Amino acid sequence: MFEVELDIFSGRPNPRWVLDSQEEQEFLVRLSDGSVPIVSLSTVEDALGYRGFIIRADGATAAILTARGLPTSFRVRDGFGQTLDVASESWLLYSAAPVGIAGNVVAHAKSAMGTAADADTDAACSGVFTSTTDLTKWNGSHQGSNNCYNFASNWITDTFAQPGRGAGEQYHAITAPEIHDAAKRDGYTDACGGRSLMVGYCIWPGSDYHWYRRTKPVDGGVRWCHKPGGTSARNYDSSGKPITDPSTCDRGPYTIWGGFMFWKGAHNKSVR
Amino acid sequence: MTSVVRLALLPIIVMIVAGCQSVGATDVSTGEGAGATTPIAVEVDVMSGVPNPTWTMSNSDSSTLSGLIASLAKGGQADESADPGLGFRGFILRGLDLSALGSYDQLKVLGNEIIASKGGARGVVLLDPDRSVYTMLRAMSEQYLAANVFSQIPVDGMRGA
Repeated sequence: MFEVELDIFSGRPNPRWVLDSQEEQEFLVRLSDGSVPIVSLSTVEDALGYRGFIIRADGATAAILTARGLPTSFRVRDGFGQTLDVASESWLLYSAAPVGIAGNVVAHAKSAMGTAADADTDAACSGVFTSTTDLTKWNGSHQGSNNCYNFASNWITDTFAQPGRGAGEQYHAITAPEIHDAAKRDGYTDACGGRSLMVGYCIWPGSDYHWYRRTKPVDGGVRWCHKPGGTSARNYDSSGKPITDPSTCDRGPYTIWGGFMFWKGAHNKSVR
Repeated sequence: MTSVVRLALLPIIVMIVAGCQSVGATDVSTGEGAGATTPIAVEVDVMSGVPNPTWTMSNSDSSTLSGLIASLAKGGQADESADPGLGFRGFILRGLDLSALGSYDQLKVLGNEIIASKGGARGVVLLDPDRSVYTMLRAMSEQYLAANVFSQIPVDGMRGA
């Protein structure tokens, strides 16, 4: 069950309602799709009036969220990140129709949804996910001249991009710290803030590095894709299995897992 | 032009003609073993982030390899089977004249199969049951690769190839 709370009042209790079964299914799809801007409950705007929605799941619904790596309690409020997409918030407000929230309250919420939130702690983290199954952009004429780092960055350069080169300082050795620091020079961060590319990297000790990028869920499950060098981009690991977590999938000789990083936006155009 | 000058030019002309005749094409298809004077470029398809290791074969080695390839039989069209992903994926050869096979610009040596291709599109397969080409390339690659990279190249070729 999903309980929804419209966080809008100061003195009075906020309106609360429960999603019906059809709404619950749709909301689960939206959450799995990464299109709902989720922030932690502790992220609150210092403002009177509309402050987003608080979602609480329990029972079987909570179990589904946990299995998908999603929190069971969270706040929904876009505007902390680079883009402002009020679709999810509008949908949640619509689901309150049976509750009968006063017209002026609804009007205020609708109006406030279109403005950026004003809190910079625990900024909204949501994924920018491209297709897991349609990788044609990467597997055509640009295939041979773009590598794993290009794919992770979602940016075709035809230069076989190297971490740090776009920032003027490439990595100095093939180690996890060097690749990490070079990627940071390209603008990648360790924490997710806003609608972001979600990537991860690993190391073939002394020889090479490899990157993965999280893509759209398939059948409600988390998925990642990658592109080994100049070969085709793909959604399976070296054992032919779908990648649900690159840190634990079959990575061949890339035995050292480096970590996850984030790029706020849809394309890291800094890489070269 | 006087007859003296013509006679003086004759050895030069002969030498030029002889020189042209000695530059033979690397004809994979004829089986005539024409010999390669165009060095073959080898790329070990093994990396993901950093570029693949490459080297250019000597004229002598290129000639030997071309001769081996020229003796191979065709095995039909290649299927679109997936490469193994991370790690060793084969040897890529460029600089060969593959015109008799079709409009291809490279060969990928997997083991007992060698696949001609262009622009990522796979074409005809050459059969090398003894893996003579693969074995030569594997042995040659050891001097160009770090030990942990060379160890990724299977002795008997890639699975299924």
